[in-house]
Amino acid sequence: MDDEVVANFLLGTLDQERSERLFDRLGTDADFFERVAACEDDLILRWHHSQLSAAEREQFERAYATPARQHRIRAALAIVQAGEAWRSSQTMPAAAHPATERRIGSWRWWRAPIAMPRLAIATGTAFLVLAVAVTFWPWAQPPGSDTAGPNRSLTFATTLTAIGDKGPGEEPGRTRNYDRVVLPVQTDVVQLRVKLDAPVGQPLTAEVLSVDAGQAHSLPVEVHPAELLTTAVVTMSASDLPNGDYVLTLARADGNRSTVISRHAFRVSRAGR
Amino acid sequence: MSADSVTPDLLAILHPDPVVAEQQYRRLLSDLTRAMEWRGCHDPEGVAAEAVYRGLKKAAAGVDLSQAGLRGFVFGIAKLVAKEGWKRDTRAQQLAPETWEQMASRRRDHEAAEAQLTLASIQRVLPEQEWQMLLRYSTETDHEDLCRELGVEPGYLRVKIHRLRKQLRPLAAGALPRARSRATGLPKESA
Repeated sequence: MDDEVVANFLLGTLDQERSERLFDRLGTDADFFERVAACEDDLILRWHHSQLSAAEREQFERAYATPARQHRIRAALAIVQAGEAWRSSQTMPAAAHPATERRIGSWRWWRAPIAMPRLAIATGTAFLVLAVAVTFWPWAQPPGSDTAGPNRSLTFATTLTAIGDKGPGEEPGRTRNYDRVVLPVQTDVVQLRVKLDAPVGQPLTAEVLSVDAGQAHSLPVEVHPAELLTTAVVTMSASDLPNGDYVLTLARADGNRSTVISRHAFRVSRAGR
Repeated sequence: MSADSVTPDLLAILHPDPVVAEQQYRRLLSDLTRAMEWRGCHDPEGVAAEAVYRGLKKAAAGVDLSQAGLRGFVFGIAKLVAKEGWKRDTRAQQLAPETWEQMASRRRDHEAAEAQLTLASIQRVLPEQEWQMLLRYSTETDHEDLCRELGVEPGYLRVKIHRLRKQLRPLAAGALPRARSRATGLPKESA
């Protein structure tokens, strides 16, 4: 189904038969639903940027005159306004741009009699700074630092402590809670740690379910036994954890079945700037 | 019983874990509300809530969902509920032309402070590369350059942008259904 058909559906100008078929597909094909929603976002942007034809604009303003759709337009325009504010802060007049002025003046500076000594001093200083940095940089990093070099990956480890009142083995009456996992922007790998208060026995498996996307990752579990509490560690790529809500389920294999031993809800977000 | 009576037993139809069930319920409700908006329903939120409730009740009663799945089944019920709603109240709440003009002027005279606040919120939620991509997409009239820079097709980029907007729910998700109150610990979505 091409974009023009979807746009006509959104504008309410598609014929009844195809409209019904399209609507039915929304219920059975989640990917298609997402595509239509993305088309609607685009349609609102095109209306805002005056890219619709006169007829399309009239159809849009008729179809989107309801309060619910008005709310959606306002939400979309909020992001556009934020984008325009961001662009305004990025744009500088060309004449006032320091880099432009330097480029314009650089040829004349090069011709000046004092240019060569200045160049020599600048080059020597730069070389000295670079030499110092290369020499001391590895030892300048404290052990266990989360600063990732070009060939190192950044691992973020967190212990999930929030548990709910409906999980197995939980105390009745406890309010379900969730952990907030705020990842540094450069995180490559995420380690989810869970303390287990009972011996594990058989190997554990883990499933991390994205509640928003409905996708699940099945992962191995490292178990680190300790005197008081055993720690189960689940390691996964940060790219598999976009911002959103998740549920980690730890299970133990019992023959042909698996027994869930704990569940943990957590919400992933990225650290602010 | 009304749509406000969605009990934990009905939610369990969606998933045995109540946390996951609540999230899937909200997602189904949100998607169906949006689909009913596209259908031109005058009360998309109410119709969606009623349809999901009826669908869960029927599923709990053992109706065969093998053909369409629960989601397709609920979408089908929503069509019937919408027809009932239209029978009761067929007056549409439409914007008058002068109100559209106000909407247009609002585009030009947007509040700078509000825009800055929204920008700060977006930059807090999304990684730098993603919020820059989102804001460029939202402000550029031609996305060919952006597609070329990222090496992706326009359709892929459109869906990618849509997913980023979903992460900005209080800012970007538009009309969301009123969340049912459940002791899940997960915050309610804004209406």
